[in-house]
Amino acid sequence: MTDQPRVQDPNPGGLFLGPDVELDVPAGGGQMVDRAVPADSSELTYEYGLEIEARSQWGYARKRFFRHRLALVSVIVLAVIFGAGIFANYIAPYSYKEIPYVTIAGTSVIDTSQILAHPSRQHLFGTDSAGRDTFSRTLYGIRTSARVGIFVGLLSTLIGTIIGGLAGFYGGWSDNLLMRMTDLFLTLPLLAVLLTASKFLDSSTPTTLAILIACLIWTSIARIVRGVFLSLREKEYVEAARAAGAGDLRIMLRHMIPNSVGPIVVAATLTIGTAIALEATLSFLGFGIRPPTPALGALLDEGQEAGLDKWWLVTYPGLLIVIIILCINFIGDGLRDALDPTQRRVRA
Amino acid sequence: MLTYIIRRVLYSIPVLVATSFLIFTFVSISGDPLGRLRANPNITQQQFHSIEHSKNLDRPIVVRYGYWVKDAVTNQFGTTLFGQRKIWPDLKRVMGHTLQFVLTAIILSVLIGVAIGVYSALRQYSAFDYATTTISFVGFATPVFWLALMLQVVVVNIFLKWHVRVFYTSGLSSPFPGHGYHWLLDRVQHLALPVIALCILGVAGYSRYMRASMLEVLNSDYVRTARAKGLIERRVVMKHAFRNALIPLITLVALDFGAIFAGAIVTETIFTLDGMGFYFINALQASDPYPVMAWLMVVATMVIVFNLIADILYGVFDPRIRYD
Amino acid sequence: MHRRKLWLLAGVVLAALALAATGSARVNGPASHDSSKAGTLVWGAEQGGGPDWCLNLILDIDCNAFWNVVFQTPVIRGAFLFTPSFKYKPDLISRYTLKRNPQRVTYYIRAKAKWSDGVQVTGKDFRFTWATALNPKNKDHIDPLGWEDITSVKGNGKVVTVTFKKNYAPWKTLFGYVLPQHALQGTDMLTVWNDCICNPKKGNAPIGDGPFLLTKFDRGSGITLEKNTHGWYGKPAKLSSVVFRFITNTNSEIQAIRGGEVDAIYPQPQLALADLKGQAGLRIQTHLGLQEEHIEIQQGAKGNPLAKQTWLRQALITALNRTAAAKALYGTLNSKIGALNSLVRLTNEPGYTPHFKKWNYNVNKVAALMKAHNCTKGSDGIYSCNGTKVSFLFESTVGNKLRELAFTIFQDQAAKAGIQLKNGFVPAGTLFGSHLPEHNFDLAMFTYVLAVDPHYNVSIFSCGSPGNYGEYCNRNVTKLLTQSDQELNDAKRVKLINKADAIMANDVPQIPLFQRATYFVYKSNVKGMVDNASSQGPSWNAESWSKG
Repeated sequence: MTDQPRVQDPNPGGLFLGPDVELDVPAGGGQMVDRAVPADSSELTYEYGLEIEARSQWGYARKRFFRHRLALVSVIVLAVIFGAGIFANYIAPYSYKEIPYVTIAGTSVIDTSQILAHPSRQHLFGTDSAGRDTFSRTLYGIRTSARVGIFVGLLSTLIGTIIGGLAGFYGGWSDNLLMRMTDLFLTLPLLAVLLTASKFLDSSTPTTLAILIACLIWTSIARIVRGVFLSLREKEYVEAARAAGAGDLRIMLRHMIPNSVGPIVVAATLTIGTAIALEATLSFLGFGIRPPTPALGALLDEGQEAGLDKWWLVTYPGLLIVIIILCINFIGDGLRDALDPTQRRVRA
Repeated sequence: MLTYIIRRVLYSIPVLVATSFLIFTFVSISGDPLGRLRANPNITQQQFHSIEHSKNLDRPIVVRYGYWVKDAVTNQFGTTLFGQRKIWPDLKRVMGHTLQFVLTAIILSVLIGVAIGVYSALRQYSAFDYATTTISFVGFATPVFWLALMLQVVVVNIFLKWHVRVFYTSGLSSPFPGHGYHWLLDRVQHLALPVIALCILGVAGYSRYMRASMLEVLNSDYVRTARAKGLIERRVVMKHAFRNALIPLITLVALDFGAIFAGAIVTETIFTLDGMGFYFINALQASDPYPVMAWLMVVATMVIVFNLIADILYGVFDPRIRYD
Repeated sequence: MHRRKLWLLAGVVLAALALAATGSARVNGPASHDSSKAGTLVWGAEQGGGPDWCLNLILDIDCNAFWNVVFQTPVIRGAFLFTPSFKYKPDLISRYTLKRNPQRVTYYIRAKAKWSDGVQVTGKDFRFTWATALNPKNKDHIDPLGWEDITSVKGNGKVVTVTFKKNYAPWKTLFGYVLPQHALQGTDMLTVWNDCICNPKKGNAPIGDGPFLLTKFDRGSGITLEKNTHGWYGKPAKLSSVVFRFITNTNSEIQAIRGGEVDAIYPQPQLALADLKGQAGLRIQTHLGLQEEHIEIQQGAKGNPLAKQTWLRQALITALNRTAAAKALYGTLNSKIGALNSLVRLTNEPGYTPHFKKWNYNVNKVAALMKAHNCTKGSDGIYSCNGTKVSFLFESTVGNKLRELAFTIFQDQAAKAGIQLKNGFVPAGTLFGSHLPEHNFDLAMFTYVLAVDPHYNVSIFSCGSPGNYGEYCNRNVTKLLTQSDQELNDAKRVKLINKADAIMANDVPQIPLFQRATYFVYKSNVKGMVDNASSQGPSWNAESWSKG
């Protein structure tokens, strides 16, 4: 099976399509297909691009994305939440470390009536065990968590795409080398390594935590990208492009990456969600971002330590984590539907 | 194919060696293993050095690595730093416990996830699709520990309200679990919550993945061809689409194995299960590097084996992949 | 696979789960109590189960966790027991006589004291226990402190005489447990009791001289004690068995007691415990325990140079409102907790004198002290003295929410007084493992778990002692404390220690904060539970426990 002779491309005409148009054609469109499915491998079927029209890839993508209502709503919701986090210092009614004091008989003492107060008009999300305003702390927490998530998403996708892409594209020894390296990372369970490393780091700031997570989490993206590239490089249009004299970089950037954007985007969005969830998990296990810096996970942990009957301490940050990850994932899904050029079956 | 498998197995050996060295150095530099002794005012410098020497901690790291490998291979991963306990018997015990509920969780989540994924791909944009998509997105977005805590509270509140013990919130079994059916029931009641907690994420992930890969396959040309050939839809779906869509999932599950073990860290900590994750977190908190290394090594070995299986399966199922 | 088959399979599995769930509900109906048999008491134990956790009580350096004492007290008895009022009560012995110069203690072992296999507890066991502690083979695992000062242990019967080289005041801490010589002689102490408390010469049959025997140890899950049916010198145990389940996660522990999966818990103080207060069917006992929370101040080379100055340490303690912090932190758990005002004695110990009471929170006094030493306030409101900012890195253990809260409060208070505290929380291992012993910190907040015997003060405050993390040194204090360790009269001993404390109240080598409370929660159908806030723990009267 390994050295099966390859079927010659019966349709060199595909060569003459411009890149934009070519991308608009279903993957493998106008070319011989189905070498892949053993059952049908005897039948050579030809299928010509059904939707060749001069609309750009991105036009399609936009249209598809806007059709995805959940994704649209998610963008708005996420913008509001992240916006509130970014402008926390303008919106928050209190500082995230403000402890209420009252003066009794000349000495100032902590206002115990303000400790663990239920949500009220003064404190929308109630107060925590030091009497600090949970609403303000949550806003600042969003800021931290968002920073961690986005940073991890970008960095890990970058690393993963480069490594997985190179491995999948070149194959052979470079694939071996890179994938063995990835294997090495993948053999170590992510959370366990993160925990050990966090113990080593002593103090985790949002940035160090994000870099740490990104340095460990890129492997899954690399595997996915590599897998896609491996099968893509067998695709006839890639061969065609190569035959036309396109360089490796051009083939990768113009043909392989756009055709693997779908899986990459899905993986990257999931990564952002994973990063925020990881931050929360690390905080829960006592290895996360250190107080008093509020992060959503750290807030949740503080809340549950105060007792689960103080529902306002655990509900709001928890709900926000869920909503944020939810939105990111919906957006990723919308992007997937929009960007994946292999997916052509419009609502039936 | 056979040459490929052999080659792939041979590749795994240097990976294993490299991993072991990586693990050893990583954990060794991650903290002072004797810190706890240093802190103990009852221990004199002399005592301290004798312990340091007996554990070869005064040697260079490569030599220590050598000793460690020797211990791992010939002496059941050596002993813990303080209790002088053999590590492997403990690890073996907790592994059994963890496998019990992790395997249950994996099988359940794959079955449910695949079913949901396939069905919602076939009925894309249907009410079912939207519902399961939403639910799995929510499931995916919910931190495991959060869910686990909530499950605990819910079960306890059910008990307080109706005096019905549905599931237990911690431990592996009751003090006197009984025998046969009662024992099994007791075990199921104890492991149900951790399994549910692990499953939610698994089902969410796998159903999303299955849906995506199913959609991809359904829109691919060979499926279109199959349809064009006039095959009935069920045959198209089952024979062509489903099989091909399952391939990436198989890989994903195999690759997830390590992650699921790590997920067990959280679950086991919350439900205080005497499993691998709990063992790991305890070792880490005790700053005892040897169980941590042994744990990482065991999990890494398992992951390597599962990677191997995944790659081979990938090769078997997807002939588009060429092996040079 | 066929789609329908797949659905079917998923359905079957789900149905099986559901069936198991409902079936189980029927098995354990509302009538039957969950922690099963009426004669069994189930505890949630916070420690145990980790890879390095060890049962072997002989190795008191390795296996010295609090819960070890709880598990073992009902099984292996010692010469003395600590009572809830922090006093020594003769336990294995009926009485003792003490002679001085050289110190000679004669123990009169109870006539009824015998091992569960019928062998009497005698002087041989005492001598064996002493020899075990000094056996070079056990060197790094058994603390030789005090044992080294014994010259001889004489007597093979029920009367045993122990002679010391010099006066050794903490002598009552010795023979905290007495080992069965006939069972252990000639075995390797490092491993023999790793998985049991048993007689290796009789097929590892459980052995003990208390009301219970340790019959089962499921590593990682729990410990089972069963009634010692062979009789012991005290009243026979009312329960037939006691099960300790290892539940190390706080919330699980709380849910376990709420849901009736365990009958009793003895957790570390934490905010979440306030949840349990209102619940019907639970009883709570809380007492001030032997745990002293304090702030260590590094006065040596590696700390902030200003901390060497006595006046600055005085300013620091004046800048902290310890009483307000205590109320905010522990108010919901135990209303009795206020500021602790002694470094050497706890509030409920005999001889407690609040020497540190003079350091009340007073921002103006801080300002006056700063002014007197030419310190000026910067734009951020923090003082600088001769170019050095009055700013400290405040270390403590990550993950302990009460400490994080305490820091938050102190940081806020100190900032108002012009002193900056920066968050330097690190994992417990790092703090105790490297920063403290290496004297590499500015300020560190942690708890001393103290013994009933005040000997610990010597190692904490003497010049150059390894336990003196802050490098505080005052020769007068060291002299007084050393003297106290050789004073066999308890009242005089405490007087000497208090004299040292009076000096320290001026030096402020550390800032005493609060005494932590024990928190004992159990179901109301459990009878005979009496909290013991000393290091003895709640199992000191296990024989009187019963379940209604």
